[in-house]
Amino acid sequence: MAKDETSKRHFFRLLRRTARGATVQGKVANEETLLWSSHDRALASAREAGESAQRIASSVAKHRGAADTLADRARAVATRAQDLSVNFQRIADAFGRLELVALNAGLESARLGDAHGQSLGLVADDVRAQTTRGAEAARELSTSLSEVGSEILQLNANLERTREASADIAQDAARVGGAAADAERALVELGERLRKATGTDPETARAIADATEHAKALVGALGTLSGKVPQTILVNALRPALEPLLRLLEERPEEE
Amino acid sequence: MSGPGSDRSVGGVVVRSPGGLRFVPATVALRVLPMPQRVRVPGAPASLLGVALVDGEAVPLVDFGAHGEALLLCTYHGEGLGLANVEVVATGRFEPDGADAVTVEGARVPYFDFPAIVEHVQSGRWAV
Repeated sequence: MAKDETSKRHFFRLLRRTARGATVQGKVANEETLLWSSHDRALASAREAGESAQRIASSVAKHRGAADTLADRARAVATRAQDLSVNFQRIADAFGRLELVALNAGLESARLGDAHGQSLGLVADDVRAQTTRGAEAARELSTSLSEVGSEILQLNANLERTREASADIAQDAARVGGAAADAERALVELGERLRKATGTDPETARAIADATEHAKALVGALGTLSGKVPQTILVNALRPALEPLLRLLEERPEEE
Repeated sequence: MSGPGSDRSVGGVVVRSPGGLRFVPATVALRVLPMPQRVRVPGAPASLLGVALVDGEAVPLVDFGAHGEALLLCTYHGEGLGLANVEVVATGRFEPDGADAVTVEGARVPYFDFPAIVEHVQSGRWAV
């Protein structure tokens, strides 16, 4: 009976000490867990930033290729439009010459008089009307094609600016990728130093923090029951679970 | 071309000038040509654009003052004369309206004043 009383006192003394120690050590373990968690997040973010930078660089390279192809085609179309404009101008000039022929035919018909020149005059007037319409249409087409060519050249200039912007983005993406790689290397090094400094790793820190929280919860629960339930009943009920813990606590260097 | 004319109708060319339409009779107007290359005559008045070779003959070119692109080759007192930058409105036979005009689509169109322009070109110190 005396041995049981001694054992109970020892048991609760150990629990009280452990509870006091657990408060301090739990804080440290919690800080280490938070530190490792922050480290893991920073490392993951650095890796993600590097991968994103690579994806951006790849996309920009594709866009630049597409812009190059588009610019080549635009230049070809602009050149073709200019050629067509020149050809339509030649057609307009030919209509102009034909109009002069019609005018001279009309003049000749006027010189011949009504009797002989009327038919020639009618044909001359008709030819002149048609050539005037043809010349106007050719000139309008020439002007429109020239405008299309100018628009395409403008488009080409815009594409050139887009290519320059893409080149800038590619350079920035490369810089971001380099910075992300540097950050990743620095974080890995930081993790190694943290491991050496704390003697823990992320998994261990998390496990310690969990155990500390559970221990605090147990001590808190025992404190709530203290005085309400006879200690004998409490100890007997908790003994199967607490004896392994007790042995662990007795093995702690500060308790020896 | 105007419609069928009467026995009195006059054949010729109607051209647009800064002062309105003018009529050049077919006895004076020879041909309508594209503007030829020309050379300036030193000291000549501005209205005399220069001299051009037309069918192998040197022809003085007088600026008509219109915005056309054609040359109306004329003969005046047996000499060739080119009206430059002419815009031809119509050719054909037109009813006379007095001694110095014709009627074109109901409007009175005076004859082109060749004596006045020749006199203007020949005036000044460059011509002796």
